[in-house]
Amino acid sequence: MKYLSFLTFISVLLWIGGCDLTDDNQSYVKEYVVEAYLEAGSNISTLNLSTTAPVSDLYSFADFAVPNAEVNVYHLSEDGTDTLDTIPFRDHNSFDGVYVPLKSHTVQGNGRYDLDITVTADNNHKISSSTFVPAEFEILSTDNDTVVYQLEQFEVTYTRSDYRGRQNYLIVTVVAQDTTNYGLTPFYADQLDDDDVTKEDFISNSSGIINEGNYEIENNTLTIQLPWLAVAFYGPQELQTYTIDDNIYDFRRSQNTQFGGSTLSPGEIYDVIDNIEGGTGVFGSYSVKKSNTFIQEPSFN
Amino acid sequence: MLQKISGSVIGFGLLLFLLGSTPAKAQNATLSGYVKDASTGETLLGANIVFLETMKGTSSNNSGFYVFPSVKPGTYTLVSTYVGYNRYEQEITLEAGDDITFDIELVPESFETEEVVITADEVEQEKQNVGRIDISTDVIKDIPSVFEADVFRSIQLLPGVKSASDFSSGLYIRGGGPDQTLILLDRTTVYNPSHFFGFFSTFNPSAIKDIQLYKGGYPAKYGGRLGSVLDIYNKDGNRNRTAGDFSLGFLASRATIEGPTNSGSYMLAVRRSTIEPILGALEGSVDGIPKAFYFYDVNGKLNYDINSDNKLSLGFYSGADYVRVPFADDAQAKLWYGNVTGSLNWTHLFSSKLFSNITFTTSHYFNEPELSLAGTPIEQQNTVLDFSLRADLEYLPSDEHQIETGIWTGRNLLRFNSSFDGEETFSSRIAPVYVSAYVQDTWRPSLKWEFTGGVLTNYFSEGDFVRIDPRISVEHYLTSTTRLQLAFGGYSQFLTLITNEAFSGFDTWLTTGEGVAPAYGWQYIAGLKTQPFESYRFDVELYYRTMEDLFELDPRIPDVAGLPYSDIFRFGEGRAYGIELFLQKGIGDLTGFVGYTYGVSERKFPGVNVDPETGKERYYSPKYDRTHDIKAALTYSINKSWDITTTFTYATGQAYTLPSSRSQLINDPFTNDIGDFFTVQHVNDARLPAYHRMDIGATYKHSFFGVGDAEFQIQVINVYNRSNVWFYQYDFDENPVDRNAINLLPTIPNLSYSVTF
Repeated sequence: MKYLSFLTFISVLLWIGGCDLTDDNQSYVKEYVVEAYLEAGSNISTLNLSTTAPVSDLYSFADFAVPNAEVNVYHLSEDGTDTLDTIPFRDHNSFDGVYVPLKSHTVQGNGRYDLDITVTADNNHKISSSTFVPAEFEILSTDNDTVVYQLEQFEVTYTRSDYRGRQNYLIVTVVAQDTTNYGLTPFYADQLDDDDVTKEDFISNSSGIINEGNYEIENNTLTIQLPWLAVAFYGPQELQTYTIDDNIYDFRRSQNTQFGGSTLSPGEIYDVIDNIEGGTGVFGSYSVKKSNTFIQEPSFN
Repeated sequence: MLQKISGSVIGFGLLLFLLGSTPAKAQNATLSGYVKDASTGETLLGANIVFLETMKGTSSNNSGFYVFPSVKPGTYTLVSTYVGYNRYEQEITLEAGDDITFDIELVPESFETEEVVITADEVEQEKQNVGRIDISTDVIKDIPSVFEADVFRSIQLLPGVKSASDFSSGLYIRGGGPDQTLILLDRTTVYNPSHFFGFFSTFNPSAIKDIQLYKGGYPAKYGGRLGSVLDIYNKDGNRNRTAGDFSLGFLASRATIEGPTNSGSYMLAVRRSTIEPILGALEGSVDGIPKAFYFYDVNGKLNYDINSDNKLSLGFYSGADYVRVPFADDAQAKLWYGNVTGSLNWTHLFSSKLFSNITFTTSHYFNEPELSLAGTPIEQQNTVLDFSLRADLEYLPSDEHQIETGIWTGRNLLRFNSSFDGEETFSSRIAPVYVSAYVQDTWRPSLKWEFTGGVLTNYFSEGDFVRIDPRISVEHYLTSTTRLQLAFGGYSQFLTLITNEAFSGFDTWLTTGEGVAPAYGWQYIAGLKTQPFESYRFDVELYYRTMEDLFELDPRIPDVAGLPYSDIFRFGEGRAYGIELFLQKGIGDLTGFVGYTYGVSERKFPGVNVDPETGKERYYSPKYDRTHDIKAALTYSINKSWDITTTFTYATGQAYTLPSSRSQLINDPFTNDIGDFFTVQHVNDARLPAYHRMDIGATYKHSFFGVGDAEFQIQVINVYNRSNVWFYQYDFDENPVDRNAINLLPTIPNLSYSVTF
């Protein structure tokens, strides 16, 4: 009898356990997606406008592109009271959702730019954002034209400036210039064992966001040592150093935590921080300087 | 400073007042002593002692000491009970003015297996205070476990306690995270009590004597955490004979030896991983196998009785984990982390009515992960050093009052350094001083009522914070077997833990500081504890708690270098509420418990889960929240040789975020990558499929060649191979994006063999 009651109890628990309660019926909410990057000292470039897609749908930009919107970018005085220039955009002739500036305009470091979009086909839906462009900076020196992989160090020294009262946030990207004649460094070569990984995936290697506080600052100059982790190929490399505005900083840092790597529990996903009214995406700006070096494969003979 | 700890001074003043104002009842007698295990001489903490004729009772304190300060002369039947022990009865005659020291020795049930002893309901009732639950180490050893019997895994089976996943032994109690539980080993704080990167806890079941869990409403003598307290005491060592045990398991093996000394006892327990040969055999054929891996822990205790009124105890723990995994050419990860704790305890009896404990403790937690990628070293060192002195006084001036007071002061040293490519990227060294003092009076005006009021004053030098936490509880016997309990209290927390539920090896503690105020919260608890039938116990508890000024590392800050200290945190609030039902059967062939919890836990942080309509943040559930859970742990004794134990858990699926849409950034100027991202309307608003799992184990008990008792255990985890989902992972290499379920533990067998001599 005792065996029976024990087994009955276990059976009841198993029956209860067989019931699944799941709630994953959250519905699709469409949002407009802006993508535009203003580079200090360069001509203002194209802007993309699309909508988000249902998570389970096939996605291509063209399928969710939003054409025929009224797009304007305003160059304003820092306090936003005076409009210094207006840059209207028009639809690209060939690609829906891509907007090209109707006039040339050199993006000003330390300048403020406002975005204004009206989606006429959607009851004149308004999208707006604002960016403060990081100041341009200069390369003062590079220490070597050629460095031996992991045996020597490549350093670049830049001038620096404050960005709206905060330290600069940097992104360092290394772009391999010749992937035909030069091979991958050992760590990256080993990654090719993964079926989904190709050599082309490593041509451009980006650091993610690095605070300026990581580096020693002397006489308002900043010296960056190239970490070997950033070097995927031997041979000629271009080192690109970016300082980014708050919009890019916020979007990238929040986007990165959506896919793990933070202290958040797996599956706990937060919305991106976009600083865009009426939509999402990035209306951001940056300043960049580029330098070159040659990474020589070490010889152990 | 003096002004800031004025609360403590007031507390001591109150004590002195009470000491002075309590009239002596010279015509009555005093009875006191220790409650001990008859076979080992170990003191028993929280044992019940009652005079059967008057039903006046008390329980032994955390040193095993009890006292009846004022007993009318007469002849009484002294009854004592303790879970796992036979009922003790002794007739005792007390004369006017007697001050008798009388130690009670309880005989373990296992010594008289033929005799089933039913304890008196009303006696058994004494033990559990509001929010408190005790768990026996025998239960821990019997409960089926993955690789290794574990204290925390067993605690996770109790109502109100949740786990983050099958891979984590972290305790999530009444809606709080792991850092909201104060974990003490022999009165010493343990900062990262995990082995195997969080898979199980550091506490060796063979070394443990007593485990007390306060899920909430904990008394004024504890502080520093918003939620709960887990107070663990190691064995003192067998005072009667040399004894020991060893156990061989898949993952680890352990051995314990204990015995008497001239004026005391000793205990030494060692555990070490023994899985290395298996890893060695797999190396080369399975990816990700460590090149080196081990863990160990050592627990020890030495007791010296200076005389009957003065006892010294020296306890220590040392444990660490090491792993080195080369995972690609020119890429390697190393991790070394662990804890070392020590405590020197002096128990002094000023008189039979005034009991004191003075403990010097030291705790050292460290973790040192190193990653080397393509010749780029990424290193981190995190250290917590804690030196403290605590002194506790218990004074029982009369039957009506039990006054407790004490002070706990110490200094922490928290260091955190990280470097990238040889350059220091973050360095923090914080050395706060903390002082806390409490006073508490338990007033029993009649057999039916008990009122406890206390206050804890905390001072924390980092940020110069003072917090005063009141604690109040009331207990009323509705019938001889039914008690109603109410409790209310304030709780403060000066530390926060950076942790990851999947991996505790990097756990890092941070403190309050400039611009970072302590977290605080209020707890409201109501409970009903009954014994509806002989040998059955049924408890109900409702709780509601708030969490204000929560501070935790902002998960969306990619790099903390150069940021002001307060900028690396996010500050939020939380709340949790629920009801817990607990049915326990303690005696008979079928023993065990079944628990049900309805619980809700919610958090709110700036910029998270913002309502698009109002622009305001909304509460959301942390991932570990499970609204309903039913848990059972049952043991059936088939005969003298065979026991079967099973555990079963059924729970609502954990919370997760179901994105509302997706998109891509295709012109990223910084990299070739396409920037996939989700938009989110509601954080953690969806639920994973329900979690359920059954584990079964069988124990065969036999004689080990006549020199000891042996147990062979065979256990099966997740016996019906339920594919419980841990989380969903999105694969953007597929179009449409592919959602893959990452599952928890499959069916796992486990064998172990233990010998006790």
